[in-house]
Amino acid sequence: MDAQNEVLLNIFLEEARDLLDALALTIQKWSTDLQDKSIFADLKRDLHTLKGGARMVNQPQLSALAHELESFCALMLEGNIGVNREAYDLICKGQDRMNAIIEALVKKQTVLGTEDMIAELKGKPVAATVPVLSELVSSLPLPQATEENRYAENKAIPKVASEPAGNEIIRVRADLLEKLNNLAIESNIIRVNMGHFVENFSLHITDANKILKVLQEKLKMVPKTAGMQVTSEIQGLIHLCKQLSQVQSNIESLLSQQSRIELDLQNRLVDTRMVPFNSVVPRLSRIARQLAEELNKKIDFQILQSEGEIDRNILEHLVTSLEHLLRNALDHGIESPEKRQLANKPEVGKITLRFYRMGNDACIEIKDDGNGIEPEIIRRKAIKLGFITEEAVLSTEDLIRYILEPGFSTQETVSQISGRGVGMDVVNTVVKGLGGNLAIESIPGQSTTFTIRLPFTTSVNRALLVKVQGQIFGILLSNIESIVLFDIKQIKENLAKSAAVIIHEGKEYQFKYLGDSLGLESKPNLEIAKEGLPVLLFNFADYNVALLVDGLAGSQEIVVQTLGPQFKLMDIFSGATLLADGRVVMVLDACSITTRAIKKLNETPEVRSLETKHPVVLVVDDSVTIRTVTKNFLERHKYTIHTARDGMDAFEKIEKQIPDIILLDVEMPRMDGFQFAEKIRSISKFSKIPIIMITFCAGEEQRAHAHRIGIQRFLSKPYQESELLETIENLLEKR
Amino acid sequence: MNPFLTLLDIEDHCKANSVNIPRQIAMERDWLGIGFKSSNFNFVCPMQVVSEVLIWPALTEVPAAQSWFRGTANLRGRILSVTDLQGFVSGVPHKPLPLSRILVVKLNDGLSGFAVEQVLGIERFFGEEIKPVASLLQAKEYLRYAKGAFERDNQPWIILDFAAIIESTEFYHLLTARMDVA
Repeated sequence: MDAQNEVLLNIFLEEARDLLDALALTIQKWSTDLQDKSIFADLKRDLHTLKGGARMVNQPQLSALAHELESFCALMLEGNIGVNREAYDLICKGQDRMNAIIEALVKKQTVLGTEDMIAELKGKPVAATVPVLSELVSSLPLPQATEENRYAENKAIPKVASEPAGNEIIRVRADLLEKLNNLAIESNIIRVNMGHFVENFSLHITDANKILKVLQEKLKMVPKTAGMQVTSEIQGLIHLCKQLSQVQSNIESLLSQQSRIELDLQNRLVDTRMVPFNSVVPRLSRIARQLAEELNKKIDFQILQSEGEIDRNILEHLVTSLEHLLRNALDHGIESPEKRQLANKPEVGKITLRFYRMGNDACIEIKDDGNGIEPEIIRRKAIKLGFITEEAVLSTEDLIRYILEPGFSTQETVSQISGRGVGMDVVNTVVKGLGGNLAIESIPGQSTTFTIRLPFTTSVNRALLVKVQGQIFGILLSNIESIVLFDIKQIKENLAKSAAVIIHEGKEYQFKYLGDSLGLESKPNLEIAKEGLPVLLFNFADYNVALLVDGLAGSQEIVVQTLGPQFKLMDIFSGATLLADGRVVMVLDACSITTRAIKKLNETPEVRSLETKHPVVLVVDDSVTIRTVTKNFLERHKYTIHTARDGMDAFEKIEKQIPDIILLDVEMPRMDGFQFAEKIRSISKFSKIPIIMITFCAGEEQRAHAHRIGIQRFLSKPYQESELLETIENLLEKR
Repeated sequence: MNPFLTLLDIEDHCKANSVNIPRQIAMERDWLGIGFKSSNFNFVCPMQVVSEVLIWPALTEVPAAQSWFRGTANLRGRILSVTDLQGFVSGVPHKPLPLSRILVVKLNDGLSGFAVEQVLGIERFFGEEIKPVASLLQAKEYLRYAKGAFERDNQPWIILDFAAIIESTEFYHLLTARMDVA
């Protein structure tokens, strides 16, 4: 294909994708009310455009299909074909076929023919009356092609433009927008610096005026003749100063105007990142349809509410999660048509998607009317995986939340679509990473609802600047419930306790110094803070925390910049921002620092239990799953568990507290099991700690080597839990 | 008659009757890079990897980060993270000196800053072989991130692979172990 045709094809493919997206939205709208004839005009128009384009780039199959679909729509509009579920399904099939063709063209693969689809469409009987099948359809008689209807059709056409007139849409490269954003920020900084210089300028003029005044006074004492020579010069200088002052004040007012403009510019640039939530609808609808077919289930995927915009970055992160929730609903939720009928449910399952704002948050809700989540099944699985004990008593809500644990899957056969157990926990992590939370509600046998709640914050936000140990940090005001001033006495009292709780307006808050949550060693300087110190109150779903800081540094609008991939694991920071003077200020993630504040509090009792008879086991493994599962299992058998990620981490941990026994994995980054064992054996205070090495392949060579180093026992993965317990007991007895 | 054989025949004829083209001199590689010092050794990395060299900027410290992480800086409105190269690789922190510089490394659409002892300038290795690094590398900790070496005037110049550093697991474990909530 020569270059020009290639270019033409690419242009067509881009347009085709847009048209197909628009078609998907219209079809979706149609599904909520099958008798709504206004949508046909939109469908016809888009199909017509698609047909023309396809013809131009020499795609006769596609063009013929579009044409046939267009005629089909015309027939439905005129009433010559019944508007019912079958027709809807046929249109959807046509749409899917066209999508497939476009994708094949994009990937330069062979394109499917469309004769079969065209035949199907042609074969649809042109009947005068066709019975209504879908329960969505109202019981109106089918309209005939009367004068009245023609008028109705004409009336429908003006509804074509759903966007306000004059709002042209232009494609812009994302990196260009990012660059514009950065330029706006830089410009802001430069203006602020200019402001400082202008301020300086004004001070210089004041100084000059003072000197001139002094000079004038001195002149009076000088003999008149000499004095007269310079009087006019001095007058000249005074006048000059006045003019300079005028110039300076003009500049100041211009700068202030510029500041307003810049803020506007920045805000609008941030707005460009917003995309309509609608944009995920075509993709989700398609997936729903395809999956339903694959699984032989009948479903109706409805978008109840989808107006509104969401930050593009957030949507990107969410899309795969939404897809997974949808797959989940289809795979695990909705039952097969037979099962549904047995349960006296309508044959066609219903999955709904809703996007709405609630206060400061954006919520996305996916609900299905399937078989719900059975708490008993979850309970059994959780016990089997060692997450809870037989005796544990949990509310249904808490129990259901275990499906978010990694490795959890209650589908007996892991289906290709979902159920691998890696899905739900990832969704939860993604949502948490966006600062939101995932709520699950279910009525067994009836429905399951997943609600994703996200802070609807655009990057520009008001933040509180706080001082901790001489450093300034930012915290988004929207996360802070309130700020209270504590007097020194109260602070001293609370800091002295290891698990202080304060009461404010009837609520209990766990009290902590922010410096501790940040891993800073020093304590607040109570000597210089005579009037007291500020305490920030945080209120989250399951806990309340009060964080003490060393001082406040005001509040201001900030633009939070995300930090590089290096900061992915640094959950305490949600980003960084630049102050007006160019300084970088780290922005704290409120949820994360408050969680750490509590966790540290909860850790202290564990340390004390050393004195009781719970032996301390250090589990060293680079897999989070293995650490968690082992920890939970051993804790049930009354061991105290510490964990470490790898050799170096383990070393740091044993320096802090010597465990009674070590479970050691071999393959780990930074320092593997053998290196670690050698290292600690060479240090006398650690040389006596019994070690159980756990690995995949325990060849003779390895065992011998281990023995030489002084590793007492070897277990191969997968090991029996009883074996591990016995080995541990054995080794501990020997000490 | 087999058309394929005919084609082979034609090819043979052509080769027999062709005029030899003069032997082309193999173009020797011209390797350009930025030279710098770390742990008192000479290193070099490809030109396109470093987008600029900064004089030590004002750094905002990041609490709870590993000691080899120096902090964040304002690079014309963009946040730049600065890692102490020597501290990261060898565990021995590098004290900022007048000659210390920050290399701004541009990889995978991101910017990372690396503090080095000294930047030696643009180094050109014209027509020189890249030697295996093990023999020339004296600082063994750098081995993981070394992609080869040049030898010039009996001085080794190790090619440092910043991509390997940025993609290593240690680089991501920015949070100190102390802060881990197990």
